[in-house]
Amino acid sequence: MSESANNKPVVLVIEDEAQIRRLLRVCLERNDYQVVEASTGEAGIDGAIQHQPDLIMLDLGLPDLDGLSVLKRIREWSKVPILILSVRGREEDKINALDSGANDYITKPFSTGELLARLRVVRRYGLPRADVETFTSGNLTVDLATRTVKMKGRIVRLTATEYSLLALFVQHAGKVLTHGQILREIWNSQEVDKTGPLRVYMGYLREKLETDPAKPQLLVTEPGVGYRLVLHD
Amino acid sequence: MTEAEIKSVTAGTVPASGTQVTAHRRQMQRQSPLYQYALALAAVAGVTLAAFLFTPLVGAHATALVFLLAVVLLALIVERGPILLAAALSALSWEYFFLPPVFDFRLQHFEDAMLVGMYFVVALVLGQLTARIRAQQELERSREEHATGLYLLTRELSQAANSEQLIEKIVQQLEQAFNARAAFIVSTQDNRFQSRWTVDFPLLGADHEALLWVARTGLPAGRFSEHVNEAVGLYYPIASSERPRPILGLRLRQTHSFSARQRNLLEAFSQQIALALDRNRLNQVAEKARVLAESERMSKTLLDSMSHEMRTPIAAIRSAAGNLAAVAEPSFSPFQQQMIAEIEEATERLNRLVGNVLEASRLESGNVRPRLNDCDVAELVHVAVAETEKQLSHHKLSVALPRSLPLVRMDFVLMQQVLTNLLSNAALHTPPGTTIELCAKAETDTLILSVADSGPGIPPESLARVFDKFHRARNAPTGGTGLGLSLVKGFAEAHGGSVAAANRPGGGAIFTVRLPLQTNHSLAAAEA
Repeated sequence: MSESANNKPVVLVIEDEAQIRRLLRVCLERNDYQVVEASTGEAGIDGAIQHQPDLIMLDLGLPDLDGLSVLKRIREWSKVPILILSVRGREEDKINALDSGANDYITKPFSTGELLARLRVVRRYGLPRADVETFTSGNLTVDLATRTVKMKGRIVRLTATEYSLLALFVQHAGKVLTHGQILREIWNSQEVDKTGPLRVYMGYLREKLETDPAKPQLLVTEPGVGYRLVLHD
Repeated sequence: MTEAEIKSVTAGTVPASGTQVTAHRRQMQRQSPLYQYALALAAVAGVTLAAFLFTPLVGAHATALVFLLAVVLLALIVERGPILLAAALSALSWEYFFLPPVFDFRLQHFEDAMLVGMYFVVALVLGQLTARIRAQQELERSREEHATGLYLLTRELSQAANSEQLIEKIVQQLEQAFNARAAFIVSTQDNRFQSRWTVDFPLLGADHEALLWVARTGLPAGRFSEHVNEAVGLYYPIASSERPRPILGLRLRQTHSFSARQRNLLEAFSQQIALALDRNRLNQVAEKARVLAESERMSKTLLDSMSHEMRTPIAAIRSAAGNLAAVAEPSFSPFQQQMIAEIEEATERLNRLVGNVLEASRLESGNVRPRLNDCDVAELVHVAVAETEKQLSHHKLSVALPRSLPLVRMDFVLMQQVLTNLLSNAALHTPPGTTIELCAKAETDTLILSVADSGPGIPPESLARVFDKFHRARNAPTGGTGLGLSLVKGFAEAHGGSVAAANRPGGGAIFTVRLPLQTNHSLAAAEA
């Protein structure tokens, strides 16, 4: 990765709206990122080659190429983390992008806090993976070596399926997982609309891990897309 | 020859020959059989009288040729019967008056007998031949007339630009071809009929009865037909695919009966008219579909551009206001902080409004196809409640959610909007501090989601229209988009479900959404 001279991570913003680019630049530079802009898909692909960014933010609605093909073309040769910018009501586009190698998405209009959190998570996936044995988020602790799950220090018993599901989330902590991705990993199923077992097991996990299962803080629903294990300090 | 020339030639000559044909036919029709026999008698008598003058000069044998000439000429005008009569009479007249011995039927010589016999045969054969040629001519002429009439009809009908013109041309062509007043009659409602385009064509009494007969049986009726022939007009059905079928009306000027030939022509006219009407209707349908497709394309373009064009500034405002709020510098006065909060709230509302407008247009254009998968109702309720948390912050929310709800096949995102719209509607229309009750339950084959409030309820006159777009109940507070409930209805129906609004006996309104249950395995069953 090409961290620039001053060691700030480089973000390539591929977005056709000048005002959004400007706002993103102000907001990202204030938070110690360096910003490179591209206003079209072609320019974005060139920028990805030329600047070797640490992160790409890609708008799905571009004037020349559609965002999905830009994503696929970058993914042909690069594993750079990509965050999709999308709008509400385009859940199918988001799923397609995630299944085509995007790391996460954020729905416009978004708050700066949300954006920075998303960027932090996504950026981690571009860095060399440190072999963590213990995962912690809020009250939850998962020891991957001993397969032990604790809430507030007390051991929680999970069934084999519940544990594999949780382990999958831990592996992708902070990142959205689509229904299809989870079904393929855990149930080895290609039928992405047969979300029944997944919904049921998410219910069980929330019962066991959430302080208030009606207001999940750890395992949150991304409506129409999938689930996310949220990182808490 | 250029196309224009061809056009002018056909336009000039064909109608002219058409009128000739009509004129000739009128002349023929006036000659009744009695008139023809009288003509034959008169011709023979005339020649006989004249022969008294010239026979002394030329001799009896030349007179025979004069008689023969008269018979042949007569054959050009009259039918076969009168010709036979003329042939026989002229033979007798010649033999009696001019062949010696005169005033005597007896024949003196064998050659005279031969002459009379041969004269008779020659007159007969000539008469026959001429009559046959004439009949053939007549047939040709009638075929030509038939073809020309049909040609004119199809040509005129194909040139009609719209339904009104088409009917006008149908009427004109009928009047010309049948020498009649014509009308294009449509049945309006409960056995009433109306003549389109032709004004003075009364449809009363027997004519009305004839029309009823045509409408009921699909067979011709009226004058010159087998049914209700005391009517003034003749009525003929058009076998088009239009229902009820239109009817052709003819008030013929002729007094003698409607010939088989005319009947055939009328039948052919009716078929051509039916084809033209159907073609016209198909054109209209195609045009309508084209316009519809075009407007759908336009609305899609508009939607796409609106979703992009409006959401971008909203995103910018929200991001900018959010950044300001996030900075939270102590230098911001409470007033400035309040203003930032106002901007954020208004942006939020505008964003919801744009979202609702887009969804409503999507519904309108039939572009909403639920992506069904098995969903957990509890999860749906939690997500909807979390999303409306801010709007419901001044209300008490009570959620009744049985643990044993089945998984339901639905589109999570659409149903989430159903619930959030119902919840924000309740929050908007009820005073702060009151309770909103959200309840989910499953009956044998239905999932029931209800949102009840303890507000003022819905005015009775608004109950039926509460799901209409932009309907606002009287005294309703401002702030809603006027679209939320119509989206609820649209999305519920897209799932094959329904939504109903009612007032609760104890006060307040209740909205109930019903969805058909397609999968019946409950959470408990899935565990096993």
